[in-house]
Amino acid sequence: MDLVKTLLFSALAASVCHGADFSLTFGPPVAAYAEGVVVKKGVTAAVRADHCAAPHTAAISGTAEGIDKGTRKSLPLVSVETRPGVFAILANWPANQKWLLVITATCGAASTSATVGTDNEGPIRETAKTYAKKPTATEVEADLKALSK
Amino acid sequence: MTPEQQLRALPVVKAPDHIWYAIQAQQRNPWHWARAAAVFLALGGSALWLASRPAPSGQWIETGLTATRTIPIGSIGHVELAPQTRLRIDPNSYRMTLARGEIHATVVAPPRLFVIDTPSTTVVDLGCEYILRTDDDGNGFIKVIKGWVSLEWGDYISLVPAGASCSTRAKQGPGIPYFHDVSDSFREAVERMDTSAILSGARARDTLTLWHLLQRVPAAERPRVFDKITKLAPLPAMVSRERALQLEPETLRLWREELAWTW
Repeated sequence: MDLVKTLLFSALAASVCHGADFSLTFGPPVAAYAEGVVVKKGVTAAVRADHCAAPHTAAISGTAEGIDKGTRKSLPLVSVETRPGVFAILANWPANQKWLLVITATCGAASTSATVGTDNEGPIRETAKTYAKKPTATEVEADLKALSK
Repeated sequence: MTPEQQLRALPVVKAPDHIWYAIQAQQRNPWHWARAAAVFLALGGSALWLASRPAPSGQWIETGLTATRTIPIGSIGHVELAPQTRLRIDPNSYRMTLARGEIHATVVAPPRLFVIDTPSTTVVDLGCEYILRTDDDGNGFIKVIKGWVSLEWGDYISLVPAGASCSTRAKQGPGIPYFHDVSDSFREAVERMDTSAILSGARARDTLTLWHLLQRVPAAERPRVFDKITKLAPLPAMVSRERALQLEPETLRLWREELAWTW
């Protein structure tokens, strides 16, 4: 019986550890606010590096994907780290449209990627998708298509 | 005989040929169009200039019953005035006073640079777009479209993020904010500060409302507000129940930073 308990506990511990992998959390602009940090352009979303042992080493990069006046655009992502592991994403694309953020983050040797749609109020959390590697062009187009529906 | 019958009885006479040349010449004369275009441009230009001219600093600006006006805020944005609005611009800073009416502010600037005073609150811009109303009694309402704002009045501070609104009361300051997608009954409960109704109707996202409510209710009521928040969102490790109930500022800030990820 003790052996069964031990095995069950081990399995549970493994699943918890797996659930605590390095990941990204998206939030509204207010989540990235920090006293004294001046962000000059409009913030459209907040991104947090979760389960990163050394948050001050976390870094993000990516693109904003969308359609402007009928033309497909891919713009480099502009972000500011407001607290260790917390980034404000600055909107450098036309307002009043949905755009897809494609983000790859690193924490030491670990990395993760995610996509999320945004609108005027911030990230549309139910559209967030996690990728083990940087999403392919096909995956990005599929996510953008789903966002525009 | 009726006038119509008299008209029909008149003989038909051919018009002299020169009359047609005169009419055609008039139609071909390009100066008529040029004059018309010049008048049109002058009128349009004047209207545009009147609507968007820089506002005189330090003076009150009033819009009429149906008139609107757009005022640039330096290079950081602009404010649109709805009809029947009265606004003053401080000549020495990015600061305005809204005495009455409605404005739609769009600002892209560092936080806390642009400020609007009203009879019931001071609206501190934290990089955003919002609609602000004030009535003749000094009561007001703000609806935030992008970013977020801080409503400040003495010891009261209400943080209103995009997608949320907040009422303000003359001589009482800002109320507590709520998201636009709450039910009517929840909104009414917030407006009349009915703690029990707010607690029973709150969803996970409404920790925005509850975090503010905790700081407004009497000390004896704080535990049940605290308990409701922790039911909706796990208490972060760095936040202690005791310090939160004492409204310790640093604890409240850390808790807000964590809760904000669900707003």
